[in-house]
This record gives sequence, structure tokens and C-alpha cells, in this order.
Amino acid sequence: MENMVLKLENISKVFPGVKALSDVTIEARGGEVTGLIGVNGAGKSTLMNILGGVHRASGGKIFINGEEISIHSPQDAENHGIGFIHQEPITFNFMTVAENIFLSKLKRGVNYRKLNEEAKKYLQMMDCDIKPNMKVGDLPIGERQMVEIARALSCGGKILLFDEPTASFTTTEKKKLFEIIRELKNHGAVIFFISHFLDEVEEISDKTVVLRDGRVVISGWTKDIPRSEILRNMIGGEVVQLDESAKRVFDEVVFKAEGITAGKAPVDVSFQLHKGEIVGLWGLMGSGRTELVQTLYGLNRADRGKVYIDTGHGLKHVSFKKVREYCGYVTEARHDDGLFLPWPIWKNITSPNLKAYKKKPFSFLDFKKQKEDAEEYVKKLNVKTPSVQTRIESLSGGNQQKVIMAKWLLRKPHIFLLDEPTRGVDVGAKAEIHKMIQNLAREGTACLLISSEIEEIFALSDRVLVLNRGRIAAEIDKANIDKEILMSYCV
Amino acid sequence: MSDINNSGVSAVDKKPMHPLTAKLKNPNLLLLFVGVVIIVFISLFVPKFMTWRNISSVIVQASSTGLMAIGLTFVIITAGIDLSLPTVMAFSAIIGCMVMSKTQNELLGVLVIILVAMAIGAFNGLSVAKFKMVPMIVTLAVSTIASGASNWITGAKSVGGLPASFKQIFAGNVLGVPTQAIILIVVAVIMHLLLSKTTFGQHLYQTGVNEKTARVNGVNTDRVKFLIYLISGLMAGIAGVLGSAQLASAGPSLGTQDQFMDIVCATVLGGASVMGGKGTIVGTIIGSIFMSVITNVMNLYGVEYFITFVIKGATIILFTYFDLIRNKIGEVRVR
Amino acid sequence: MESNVLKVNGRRKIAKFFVNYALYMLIIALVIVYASLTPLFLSGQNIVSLLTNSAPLLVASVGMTLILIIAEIDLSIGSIAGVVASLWILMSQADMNIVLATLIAIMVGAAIGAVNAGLIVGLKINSFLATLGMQIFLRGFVYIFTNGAQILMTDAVKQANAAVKGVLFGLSPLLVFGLLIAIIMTLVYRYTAFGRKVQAVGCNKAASVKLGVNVNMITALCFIICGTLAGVAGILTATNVGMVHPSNIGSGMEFVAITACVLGGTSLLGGTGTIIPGTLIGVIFLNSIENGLGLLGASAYAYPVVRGLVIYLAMLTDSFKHSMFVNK
Repeated sequence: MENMVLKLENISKVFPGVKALSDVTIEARGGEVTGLIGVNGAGKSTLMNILGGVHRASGGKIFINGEEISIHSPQDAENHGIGFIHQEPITFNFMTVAENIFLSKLKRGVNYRKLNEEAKKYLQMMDCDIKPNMKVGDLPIGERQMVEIARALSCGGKILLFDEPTASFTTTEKKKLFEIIRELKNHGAVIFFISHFLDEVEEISDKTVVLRDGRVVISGWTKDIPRSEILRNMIGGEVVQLDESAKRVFDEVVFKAEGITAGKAPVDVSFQLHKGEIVGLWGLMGSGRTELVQTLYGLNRADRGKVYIDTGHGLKHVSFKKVREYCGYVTEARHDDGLFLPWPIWKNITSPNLKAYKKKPFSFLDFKKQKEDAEEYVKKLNVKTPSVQTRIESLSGGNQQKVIMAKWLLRKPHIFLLDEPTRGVDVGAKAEIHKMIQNLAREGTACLLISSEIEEIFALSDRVLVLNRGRIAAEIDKANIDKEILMSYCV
Repeated sequence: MSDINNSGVSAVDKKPMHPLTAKLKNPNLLLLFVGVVIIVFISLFVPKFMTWRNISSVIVQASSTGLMAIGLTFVIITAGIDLSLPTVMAFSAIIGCMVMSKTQNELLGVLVIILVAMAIGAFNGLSVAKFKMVPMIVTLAVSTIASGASNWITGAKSVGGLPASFKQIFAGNVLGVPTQAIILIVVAVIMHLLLSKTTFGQHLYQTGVNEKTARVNGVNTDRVKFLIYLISGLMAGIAGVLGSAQLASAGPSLGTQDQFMDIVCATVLGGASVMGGKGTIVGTIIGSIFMSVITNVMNLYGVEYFITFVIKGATIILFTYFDLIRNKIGEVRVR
Repeated sequence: MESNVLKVNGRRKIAKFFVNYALYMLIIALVIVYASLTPLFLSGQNIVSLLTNSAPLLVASVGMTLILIIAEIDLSIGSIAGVVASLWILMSQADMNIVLATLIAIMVGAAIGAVNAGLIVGLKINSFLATLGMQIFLRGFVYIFTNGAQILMTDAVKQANAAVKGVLFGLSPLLVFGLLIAIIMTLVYRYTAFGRKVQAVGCNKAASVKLGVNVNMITALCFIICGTLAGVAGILTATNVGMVHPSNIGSGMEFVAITACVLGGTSLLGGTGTIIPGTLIGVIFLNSIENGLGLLGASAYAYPVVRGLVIYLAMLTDSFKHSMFVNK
């Protein structure tokens, strides 16, 4: 049986002011997994969006089995058997599994018995035993993604695009997904696997393509390309070396958490932070890291537990609601709860610290000073923007994150809680933010750093706490950090 | 007329704009500009409009709506709504006037009006902020209760017998300027300063633009949400004082549910967004005056009462549409 | 220690049960209170009368349910009802054939719904503001059509009414049409591709677009249906009451309809909701409050006060239900 051949030839895509893709040529066959690697903004998503019919290519051609095809809409993509599986599964949470799978196919009347039967067929293809009449919103994220895969399969799924699918997965869910991918491979599907987790790409893909600045910089069989070469091509320059300072001594406890419990996560968490120390908080998705920080910060109601903070007169008990007066908190999802998107930079920077701008006689706010302070910090942190009046939504991810850092730095907190501070940030800004954190620590701020990138945890932490199912599973000193140990505490 | 709370410049906007065009981008100024043009037009065609007596009548008419629209502005910034404003105004006025007519003490009566209105406002605030109920339904229920209670207590009649000084003080003139107008302006100025220059105001805008971010910033969003309904109640109370002083009586017809439409229109014309995050006092005042002008001109022109509905409705739709277009023109998408 | 944990869990479970079904318990409580105060409440005659009088609100709320499910709002249905009702009576006063008049009137409702759709889908005006504007705009026309005063139903209408009643075995046409419309729309919502797409749009508009759902068409159709049903509601009201008065026909109907939908479990945020049983129960519940009061001979002034209180209590219990589930 002839395997399907998908060929992208000289694909280019131009957006107003930006050339996202130039001259991309990739050939992929049925029964093969092609891993697509690149930093944020390299063009991976744009390329997939073109295949998925969300964007139209500005130039180039697409061939399936030698025949040229045009993809002008998601419907077109579907008609050609292209299925897109997103990082955040796209589902209708109040509707059932079967409805989610077949929504675009429904015509006229809906026969639920037939619908559920058909749904079962596709779910079984993946060895999945979800009931087709369950509401998707009640399923865990791994199963929701299977619904999306089932949907892709039901559209004839011969070409499957997986866009960073494992970002929110547990190890078991990841294993399951890889099994499914291998199964689909055996059925002859063409599979694209986008990820920035290099070891995943190494594990699952047969071929690897690296994109940088919209171009293919290297492609070939995965086993033939060493990782260092991939990294070099991804970044295109020298990998920024992080400051490996000697182990420092930390003696002053500035933050103490005792028995923090809130429902399923966190559970009985106790730890301490010392002045000038960076403590990494490691764990997989779902281990409760964000919940812990949210509880400490008072945004999540705690069942039990106490927090003590040293504000200059020794450790004193602080109620959860008051913790935020002493801590800065860089949240995990800046678009959700870190920014006021339509507002200018200066308003965002000064937003948590308005008390400082009260002017006599009526406590009116000094807007002029706010703008001045904003300009100072924009310069200090090297935020790339024409002015502080610029709306923050037009800034890139890295610059937005820097503004968020500035927001808290203005308050000069003793303690800094950082949840995935470099997520969705380009390599340059990432290095700058790492430097910022290290400088903060050197100046005496205690930092609690949550990260899913093991390299980041390695590079920055003086000590690592491992969280598993809401509990602290291990506490590891910098000298003993070893990847295997970290992973073993998570499973 | 601060543009503090208008969004800043888009990162791609590099060309400096002609100062006039820049000014026109400010929605308040645009509305004012259009308003002035319209007024000039009207004074040409309807001679009776430009008399001092008529203008003061316009402003007096606008004061009741305007005060409540100020209250609504605070609420609407959080994407909330307060349907109870007009009926609470009537109810509090009725209670206060009953006290006033019994005790013949106008100060006491005024105090009662304001306190009753604020108490109801507090109740609304508690329901929305603490019990997390849907503002539309809560204020609707309260509105129903208030209007029903108003009718019940008065038997659908007005409460009279008020001391003459009441009308003299609150519906009189000071140096030829109607007291109502003065009170409206004073209140508007205070509320404007509160909204645009204090931390409370900024906290309110933060809560409206992104409640989660506001909370992370340490804003007590529950308290903010409680306070805005309290302020709204206060405004309804003041409107009640002025309204009942004008008529020297208070009855259920002082504030009915359909007046709510006028209040929302005034607020929206002033630039507030139903989805939250935007709204200014200045804009709301301009909007209230605009609505009042429409009614006034219709009257002067001898137009049938119901055509006003048609005009007001069309105005809202047209204004919203032009506002939409204006925003689209000013935007250049990067990506 | 163990027993303490069990006790807490046990208490939690009971609380959860109470709160989940609180709304239903409130309804049952209301029924019990009224039934014990007057035997007439649960009489067959009263129930039929209750259902009949609920028909106009039911029909309007059915349309509103769809609109809420797609996360929009329609504040104009009261005025649409007014316009259609007054035109209908005017046509019959002009000796037009009743059936023709009814058809034309219903089409007017659909046309106004289409105008709403045009503003919201075509011009992309926010639905709150667009329909608010239409509400005011159309109210003016109601006054114009009725010349500012009430207009009375003609004998022709009364005769047609009686004739239809005869066909329906003596059941009121309001009752039958009301329930029929509710049943049909429920079936459409649950068992047709259109209905499923409506829910999909409400659940996740962006995803619907990606899956090739014509969101604009779905939204437009919902507003057209809502407008049509609002018009039907107007006609039913006019038949029930015998006349149309410009200041109170349909006045405030949109808010009452929204309340009925929300009471019945439809969320203002969209994506979930039921017509039968949800909205149906919501409508009947709302109307039964005043129905019971009427039977008890309470002062007419008490009606709105009690109604407001009951609505408030119902929403309060509903709120507790949601906040209970937030804490794991």
C-alpha cells in the first residue's frame, strides 16, 4: 500500500509588517512523525495554521500525493483529512463527547443512539473508554484531548497536527498520548508534532525540522541530528551562559509557611525562604504548585495553615489576606490575571502601588510621577517600546513579562513569588528576566520560583522543593540537583 | 477633561497626529462637539430654545437623570447594572416625605431619604459582592419590591403636606441659577474627582478591566463592588430629594422603571461601556444633558410625546454604531 | 480524629444536597404554603388557568432562552410584542381576515428580529445596546399605532378564539399553543443540528468558528426566532386580556423573561440552558407566585413585593449552590 505524501513547497506567509514564513519546504510521509521545533515566534504555529486552514499562505504550494491542493478554510482542511489538535483542547464543555466529536458533521436531525455508537468507534481506536454521553467539561484535560483527536480522526484524519499537546500533561497522560500517536502512525497517518520539549521530540519523532525566523534551518532524520546542533539552530547564536556562582550561605529566614492546606492541593505544606535565596518549586502539572502560591497569596481559601513573614522585626504571623502587602506575585498566565491589556504601560506598572502616589491635600493621585517612575523602570528593564503610553497589548510576550516584573519591583518587595515567569517569552527576554531574578536575590529578596522547564530550575535555584499531589515530596540542595532525582519524586 | 482613562497609543502609531484629529479621538470631546453643533442648529430653528428659562429647565430635567446616571456610571464600570435606581429614588423620597410631612422638619426628611436610598444600595451591594448574585436579577427584584412597596404604602397617591421651605431650598434659585443645577454640578465634580483622581477610582477601573488582575494587585474587589452600589443608592437618594422638592410631593410616579432607559442611555452616550472598564462622570453628564435636550426640543417643537421614544432609540443605536466605527479606524493591528 | 473528619464530610454532604436542590425545594415550599392556605391553589381549574395565563410569558421566554444560550441578550422583546399586538388588533379592526392578520403580524415580529440580527451580526453592535435602542425606538411606534390609548379586541377575534377553542376540545388556544411552541423548540434545540450548533456557539464561539459553524447565521436566526416568538407572545397577551394599552403591553417583559430563564437554570454567560424543563418551570414558578396571592385575595399592591422577594430568595439559593462548588 502506498503511503500518503504531503509536501509543502516554498510556503511563505506575510502579515502586515512581518514576514512570518519564508520559503518553507517540508516533505512528510504517511507512517512518519515529523517533529517541528522552534522558539516562540519562529513560525511553527503559523505553518500549522496554514495547514489547518486558519491562515492562507501568501506564497508556495501544498501537494498531497503529487496533487496540488488549496486550503482556504478550516472546512477545506477538514475535507482534505487534516486534523488539528491544539495545546488547549478546543472543546464545548457543556456538550457531550459525541457532540464534540461530530459537531461539524451534524446535518438536520440528530440521532443520539447512532451518534454515540460512532463516537465509541473512534474512541476505541485510541483504546479509550470514555462514555460518549459524558459532558466534556467533566473530563480531565488528557481525556479532553482524546476527544479532540477523535474529532480529527472522524474527519478522515490522515494528516494530524499536534500543537504542543503535552504542555499540561502528567507523565501517564503523556505515555498514553505517545502510544496513541504510534498507533496512528501504524495506520498510515502523516503526523506533525510541535513541541519545545526536546526530549519528547527525540522520543516520538522520526524526522525533525527546526524553524528559525520563519525559515527551515535544519531538517532530517531525528536520530541523525545531535541535540546540541538542534539547540544551536534554534537560537542561532551562542546559548546564553548563566551565572554559576558558588553556593551561598543563607541564614535569615524571611518567610515561613506552616501546614498550609487547601482542599486537594496544597496539603500540609511547610517550608522556609531565606533572605537572598531562590527556591525552585518543581512538580508536574496538577501537582499543586500554582494552587500553593495562590493559597499563600490569599487568593485561594486555606483550610489550615499559617504564614510568618519577617518585615524587619523578626518573624511575625501574617494573615493570608495581608501576605500580598509584603510579596510580589508574578502569575502564571499574564493574559488572564497579570495585565490590564487595553491600558498603557505606565498604568500597568503603577497599578499595584497606587498608595505611593497619593498627593496632598486630598490624596489625589500624581499621574505625572507615575509616568516618570514607569519610564525609569522601562529603561532599567530594557522594555522595548516607543513610549510608556503604549498599550500593553501591543507588546511582545517577553516585554509584557518585563512590565509585570517592573510592576512588583516598584514596590520593592521582600519576597517574590514567580509562577512560570518566562512562559511564552523569547530567548533574549528570557535571559534578561533570569538576570533580573538573580539580581533581586543578590540584593536580598527571597524568591519562590515555579517552573516547568528543568533547565530554568537548575540554573536559578539554590534549593528545590518538589511537589507531588499537593505535598512536598522532597527538598533538594543545589549541589544535589539531578534531573533523574527530580523526576523520580513526581511519579 | 482628562484622558487618563482612555487607552494609550498603539505601538505602531508613529505618525504624529494633527492636534485637532487627536482631540477628536477623545469621545467626550467628540460628543461635546456634536452637541454644540446640534445646539447651534436648534437655536436657529427653534427660537424658544435659547432662553435662559429654557436652558435652566433643560438642566433641571437633566439633574434627576444625571444624578442617577452618575451612580450607574460607577456600577457599569464593573459591567454591573442597577435597575433599581428610579424606583429606589421614588421609594426613598416617599418614606422621607412621609416623615417630613409628619414632623415638618425638612432636614430630617432629607436625611431619611438619603439613608433609605443608601440602605437599599447597601443591600444591592451586599447581594452582588458578598453573595455573588447576578446584578441584573438582584436589582430587578429590588426594583420590583421598591415600586410595589411605593404603591402599597401610598395607595398609588402622592405624599404631600411638605413644609414650604423644602421646595424653596431644594428647588429654588441661587442668584438666578436653579439650585438643582448647582447641586448636580457640585455632586458631579466631587464624583468626578473621586472616580478619576483617587485610588478608589483606579481600583474601580482595575476591577472593571480585569477583576483577576485587580485582585492579584491587592485590590479588594468585593469591597469595591459593594461600595459602588452604595454610591448608586446615594445618588438615587439625592435625586429623590431634588425630585420631590420640585413637585413638593412624592409619589410612585416620581420614579418608574421606564426612566431607567433614559439613565442607561445617558451613561452610554457618555462613553461608558456595558462590558465594563470604561466610563467617566464628565461623559455621563454630557449624555444626560443630551437626553434632556432631546426631550426639551421635542416639547418646544410641539412633537408628540411618543416620537421622543423613536428619536432616543435611534440615537442610541446610531451613536453606538459610530463609536464602533471610530474605534476601528483608530486601530492598526499588529500581527 | 477520624470521626471528626467523617462528621465534617457528612455535614458537607447534607449541605451540598440542600443547596443543589434548593431551588426545587423553594418551589415545593411555595406550593405547600399556598396549597395549605387555600385548597383552590391545586385545583384543576386553577392549574389550567395558571398555565393559560403563563402562555405569553412562556413563549417569549422560550425565545429568550435561545438568546441567552448564545450569550447574547434581547431587551426589545417587550416592545416587539407591543408592536405586533397593536398591529394585529388594528388589522382586525380594519376587517382583515383573522388568519391573514395573524400571519402578517407574526412576520412583522420576524422582520423586527431580523433588524436586530442586522444590527448585531451585520453592524456588530453590542446586543445589549442594540436591543436597548430598539426597545425604546419601537415603544414609540406602539404609541403611534395605538394613538396613545388602548385599543380593543374585535368581535372577530373573539369569535376566532372560540372557534379554535372548539377545535381543541375546549382547551384554551393560549395553553395549547404555548406548550406546543415550548415542546417544538425543545425538540429543535436538542435534536437538530441547528440546535446543537446554537449550544456550541454559546459554549465556545471561537471553537465553533474553527469547526466551520456559521456563527453569524446561527446568531441571526436566534434573534429572528426570538423576535417572532415575542410577536406571538404579544398576540397571545392581546387575546388573553382583550386589549392593548401602549404603556403596559410587554412593558418590562424582557426582564421577566430573563428572570424566568435564569430561574430555570439558563446561565447569562451562555452555553447551557433548557427550555423544557428549565424555562417552563421558571415561568410557571414566577406566575404561580401571583396566582397564589390572587387566590388568597391579597391586595394587588402586595403582588410585586412578594414576587420580588421570592425571586431574590430563589437567586440567593442559586448563588449559594455555585459558591459551594467553588471550594472543591
